Amino acid sequence: MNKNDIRKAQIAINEKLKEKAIHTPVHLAIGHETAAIAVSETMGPTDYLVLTHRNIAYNLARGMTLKEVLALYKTSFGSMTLRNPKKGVVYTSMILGNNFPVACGLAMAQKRRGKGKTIVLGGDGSIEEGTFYESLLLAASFSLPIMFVIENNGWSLATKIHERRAEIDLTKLADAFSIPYLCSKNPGAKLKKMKLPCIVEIPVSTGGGYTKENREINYHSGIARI
Amino acid sequence: MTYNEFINKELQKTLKGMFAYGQNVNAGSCLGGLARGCGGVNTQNSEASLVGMGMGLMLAGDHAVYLMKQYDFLFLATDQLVNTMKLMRLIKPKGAFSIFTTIIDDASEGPQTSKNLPEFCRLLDIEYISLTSAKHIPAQIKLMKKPGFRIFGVNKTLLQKKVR
Repeated sequence: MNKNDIRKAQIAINEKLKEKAIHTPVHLAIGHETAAIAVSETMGPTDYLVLTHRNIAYNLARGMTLKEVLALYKTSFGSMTLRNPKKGVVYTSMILGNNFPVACGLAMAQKRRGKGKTIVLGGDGSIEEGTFYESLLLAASFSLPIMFVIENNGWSLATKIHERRAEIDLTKLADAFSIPYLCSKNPGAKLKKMKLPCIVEIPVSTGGGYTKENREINYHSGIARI
Repeated sequence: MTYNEFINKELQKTLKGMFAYGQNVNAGSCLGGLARGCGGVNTQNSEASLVGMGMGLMLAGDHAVYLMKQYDFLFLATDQLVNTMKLMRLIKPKGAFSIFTTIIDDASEGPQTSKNLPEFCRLLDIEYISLTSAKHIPAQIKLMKKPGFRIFGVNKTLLQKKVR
């Protein structure tokens, strides 16, 4: 799917959410389409993609159809752990930071086989978890073929970064582990040139936020106000 | 031969070709001798992520064993044992992942000795294998190659006893 098709599919899901036709909590990723396509295009046949609760744009970019997504929403995996192993999406977790070490294990297996890489997604919320630091250390210590892609939308539910924590400078963190770092809104082909392990930060604006009691809120799950 | 030596011999046989890892598994006392000669890879001290890494290896179809000095540190990995395992039960990976750990419960190491590993595993619906008799230990350790996840525990007090 291209960027427009991914956006259209998400809007279609949003309409179904308005109709209360979907019962699993869906975290739409309106605004994440460019990142999803860039990541998908860097994947080869033996690569793994490890996602988060906000996985819809990536699953669509990997070739899942809207019909397939809606069918899988009715299974035990629901929306937040949606996976598509045939397209390399082997693991998705709804727990922030849970997926980083699992991705390191997948990358370790690939290193032992001598082929493939793992791309693991996180956000500015999940890098607050201890497993992010631990997994970076694992990746650096074992020179794992892994790319940490951090989508930074600046929000965790209703709190902006500066409202909940100190700034995390991923440039310095990558430097501390002596691994490469890239920050780009549209990393495109640059991803393929990254030496692994590495951190790629992608600033994104997640669409669908709203104002409640005079306070701006970035939506959590459910209907996006678009 | 002590149980410590007996279990080490069985681990050496079973772990050939598997990915064994953990803190100090191939240095110093090699976990009190239990991991000596097993070809394990030394790792950092990050129990939560080391358990998660084993889950990933299992998901990729590999056979992995995390040799953990003592089980008290296992609780740092509760998210992986609960949430990741819940997904693994749905996914049913072809690989295998085991955690092998010792239970130090001689009442001299403070409050951590009061925890009950079998009960913890039962609560989480995790297969727990207690190594208690020389008759069963070889077959039990071979289960490390069977697809799925399980935790093996051996009590420190047994390790110095002679195998009859």
